[in-house]
Amino acid sequence: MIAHKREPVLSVRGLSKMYGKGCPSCQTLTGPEFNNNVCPVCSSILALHDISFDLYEGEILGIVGESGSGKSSLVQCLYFDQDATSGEVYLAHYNEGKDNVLNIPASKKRYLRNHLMGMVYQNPVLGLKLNISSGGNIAEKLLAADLYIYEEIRERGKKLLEKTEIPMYYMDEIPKKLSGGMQQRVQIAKALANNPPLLLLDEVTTGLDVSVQARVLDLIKALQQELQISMIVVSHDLGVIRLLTNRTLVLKNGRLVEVGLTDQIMEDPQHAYSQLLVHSML
Amino acid sequence: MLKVENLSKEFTMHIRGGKKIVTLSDISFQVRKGEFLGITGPSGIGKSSLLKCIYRTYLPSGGNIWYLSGEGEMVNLATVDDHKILELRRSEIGYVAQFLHVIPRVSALEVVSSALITQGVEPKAREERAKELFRRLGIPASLWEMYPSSFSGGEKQRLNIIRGLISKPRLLLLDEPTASLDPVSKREVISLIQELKKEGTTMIGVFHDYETLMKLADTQLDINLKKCKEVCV
Ligand SMILES: Nc1ncnc2c1ncn2[C@@H]1O[C@H](COP(=O)(O)OP(=O)(O)OP(=O)(O)O)[C@@H](O)[C@H]1O
Ligand SMILES: Nc1ncnc2c1ncn2[C@@H]1O[C@H](COP(=O)(O)OP(=O)(O)OP(=O)(O)O)[C@@H](O)[C@H]1O
Ligand SMILES: [Mg+2]
Ligand SMILES: [Mg+2]
Ligand SMILES: [Zn+2]
Repeated sequence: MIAHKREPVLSVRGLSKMYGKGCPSCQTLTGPEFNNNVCPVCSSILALHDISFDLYEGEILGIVGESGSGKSSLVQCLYFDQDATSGEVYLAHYNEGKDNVLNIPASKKRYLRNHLMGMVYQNPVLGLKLNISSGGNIAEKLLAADLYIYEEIRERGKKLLEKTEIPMYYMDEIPKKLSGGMQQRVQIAKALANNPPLLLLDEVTTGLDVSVQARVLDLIKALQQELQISMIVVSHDLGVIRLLTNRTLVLKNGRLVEVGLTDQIMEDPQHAYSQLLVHSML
Repeated sequence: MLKVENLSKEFTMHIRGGKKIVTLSDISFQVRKGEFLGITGPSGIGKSSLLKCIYRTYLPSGGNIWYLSGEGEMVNLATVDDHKILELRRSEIGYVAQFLHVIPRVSALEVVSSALITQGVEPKAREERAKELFRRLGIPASLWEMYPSSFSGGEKQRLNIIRGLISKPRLLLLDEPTASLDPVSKREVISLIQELKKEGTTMIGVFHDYETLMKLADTQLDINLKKCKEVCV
């Protein structure tokens, strides 16, 4: 039996992200009660406020919420694309989870990104260099993860394309010439290049054809079952969340309104907003 | 092995002005290891809700659900954290829903065999076991690679049952597992359940059909008028 450790791979405590200077009223005058994340006093955006959760090994956590609720900001803070304003983040694979990685030096953060995490962006432009070959994009991530031998890089690149069901002749093709679905696959291959224990997926299937979506979802599901990677899946599509995730966080105006087992969130949502979200999708 | 104490469940419908629906109130019963508890009661009384509370698809509003796990740990399924519930679902608590929640775009074979992945069963062995059960319940080979969304009601239900049984859970929750089956598959499902019971699986099953209930259940819980009484069959 696969042992699922009872310690979190990722622990997030009191994470907040403010765009703007902020003032004492930001916290008290924004949130679900005000249906707003913009402070009426100083106009700062409180994209995330006081978010806490744990992600366990092999678990897939869904993040849902309306547009602007803070989903992308959350994964981007975890991937260090954005600097969190405050809070604590612990990764079991980094110094046994003892350090708040929000406070470690930039070089160490780069190390974490390159060795312990993979990210797939909603917009391939953010995740890929569109004018470098697909193989080159993957190689870049491998180089960053300290793999320097050409043959090995080429070999691992091939394996990744295979795994993500990308025809081999695309290896030397630039992503610009590929379809949206193929670009997402190259992003996934790149994100998996360093065998990360944690994979972040931001709206991977949004904007794709339904049939292409299906294949990308199948791929993610298969990879998860095979590799048992812990994942965070951001999506506004509850079907995707139901298909892929074990647990779900519901965000609204930068606040965490509910967290629970995915089937419980779908069938017995507790918070008024979660009920609205689920019922509007039925 | 399972002891339910004063379980209650009410739904607060915030989107309908905070209206409350009381579905279960003050339900208590226990199930011993290896026992089959049959649950009966009129439609809408809360039978499915009771199973969903035990599986934690529904969050109980009050009471306790004490479960003695395979590792000898006493766990309150009503309140324990989600991670523990997921762990138990992976390794020892199974559930066959009244209606199959079809996972889109996953083949029948995968739907069923994937239930064995977390138990570390090899892919070949997983498929073999799945195919064996398909044959027993008369799912034709032509359907194995198909998506279940296109299956008939009875085929879906059989698939659902196979998925729930294949991993041989320690505690199995069955919600009307034979409701839309033809007599032949029904007999086969009943004998599968009986085999599993012989191997020691503890079960709680909801049945409309008294005959099936009599064949399977050791004890019976009748939920009626929001009260419940325990009768021995
Ligand atoms: N770089 C930025 N500068 C200023 N404000 C930003 C920035 N990025 C995001 N925001 C604001 O932060 C809030 C949260 O944005 P975020 O992108 O996290 O939302 P989201 O939940 O991912 O939405 P969507 O579903 O539309 O992708 C929004 O109000 C957004 O306008
Ligand atoms: N998720 C839910 N939200 C709101 N009300 C619910 C929900 N689930 C069940 N109920 C209500 O609780 C009551 C009991 O439903 P349940 O499905 O448990 O009945 P049942 O005894 O299984 O009925 P049947 O024999 O018809 O399957 C019903 O009135 C139902 O409308
Ligand atoms: Mg976003
Ligand atoms: Mg029912
Ligand atoms: Zn302010």
